[in-house]
Amino acid sequence: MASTPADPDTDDPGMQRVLSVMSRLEADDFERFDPPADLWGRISVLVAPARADGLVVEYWIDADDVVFWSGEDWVDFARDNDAPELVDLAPGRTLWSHFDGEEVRELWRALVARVRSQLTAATVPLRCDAPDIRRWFEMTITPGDDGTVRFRSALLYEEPRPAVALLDVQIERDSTAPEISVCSWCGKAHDASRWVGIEELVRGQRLLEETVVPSISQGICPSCRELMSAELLVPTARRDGQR
Amino acid sequence: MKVLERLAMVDRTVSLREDADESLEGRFRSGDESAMEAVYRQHGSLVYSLCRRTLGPERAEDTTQEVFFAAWKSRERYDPESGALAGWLVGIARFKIIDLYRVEQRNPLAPEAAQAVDVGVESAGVEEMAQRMVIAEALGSLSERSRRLVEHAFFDDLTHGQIAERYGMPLGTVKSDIRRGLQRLRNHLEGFDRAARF
Repeated sequence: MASTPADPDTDDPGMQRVLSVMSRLEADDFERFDPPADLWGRISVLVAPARADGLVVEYWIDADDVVFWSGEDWVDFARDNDAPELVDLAPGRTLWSHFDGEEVRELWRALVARVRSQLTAATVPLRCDAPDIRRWFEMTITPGDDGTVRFRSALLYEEPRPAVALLDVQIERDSTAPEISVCSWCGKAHDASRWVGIEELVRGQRLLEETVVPSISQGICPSCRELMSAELLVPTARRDGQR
Repeated sequence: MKVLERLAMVDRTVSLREDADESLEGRFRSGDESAMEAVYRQHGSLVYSLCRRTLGPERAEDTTQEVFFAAWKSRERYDPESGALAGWLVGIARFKIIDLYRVEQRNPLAPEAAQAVDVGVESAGVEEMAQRMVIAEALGSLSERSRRLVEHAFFDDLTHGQIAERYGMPLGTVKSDIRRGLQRLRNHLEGFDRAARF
């Protein structure tokens, strides 16, 4: 780039810096890529005023990982989501027995182990959708006394959508079809080599035309695995859960 | 109509646009959601382009989302008087990208290539690229006339007198236009400097 002609303003350090950066400009610095078309949709959900009604789902596990207390909203939430097995928890059953995906289970176990060993709280995003509602939660995992751990999930935002049969537990499952893995953190579904929104997967696999649908399993997409792995390694909060 | 008159008309249009930008920045700061969308439409490609150049297309998407969410949560800390919003957003993006590099280096589950990265060097590279892109963006936001004059002065190595002669403009006008243009560029870098790890 060319040298700078003399000018009184260029004695100003701020202006000198501008000129210095200008002198290093490259053609690529002017190139712009358009963000994916759906990106604003994802951001708008986060910036919209929460339409959530303050729902907080809370439960505690003891040192043996058995759920020993759950808040009132737990029962209502389990019932609303057609999860009768969670309304009355079997005595002695560990939290981990409710997970069907091994990788997801192990990540949660590792996170809880970190919370216990470091006596630091961890906060992670979480999706818990109903067939006709998208829900974004934030879960805070806080260490208690004697190895107990509190899980507190606050609903940040929810929005209605056309019902997705794939998420409806009442719909018949095709036991011969491969399971579809759904990310527990962001709600995306694994479609061949990509992770896509569940509605996109339903459209792509033409599941709307099917009377039976594949089973789904809890999974984790690469982006969320990265975030969770980071959360596992970085102490984030004090014991009271405040960041 | 003479070239100068046409350029003056363009300048008036740009001046109106700059007023609109200031109004937008104020509405963004006060929590107007529609302003947030306008901010994204205006600066989304800048933030996404920086993320994409430093992180690749897949991670650029999530990081851009994080940048705008962080900006929204911290909007009251943005002061339109202290710097341009475009610079402020890129400043936030720069921290998100550098933090991601650091996390990856600490993360044993990250790909080997990521672990091999020298974070100090990479961070400096991100910082440098981000500042260049802020200036490139600011240049693009100048009026046609200002941009031409600044480009002639700094890239074509013309003196102010030569520029004045080429366009038949008074020397004082050339100087003040270039000065105003450079101040706008500095305003973008000041916005960049005001950003924090939100």
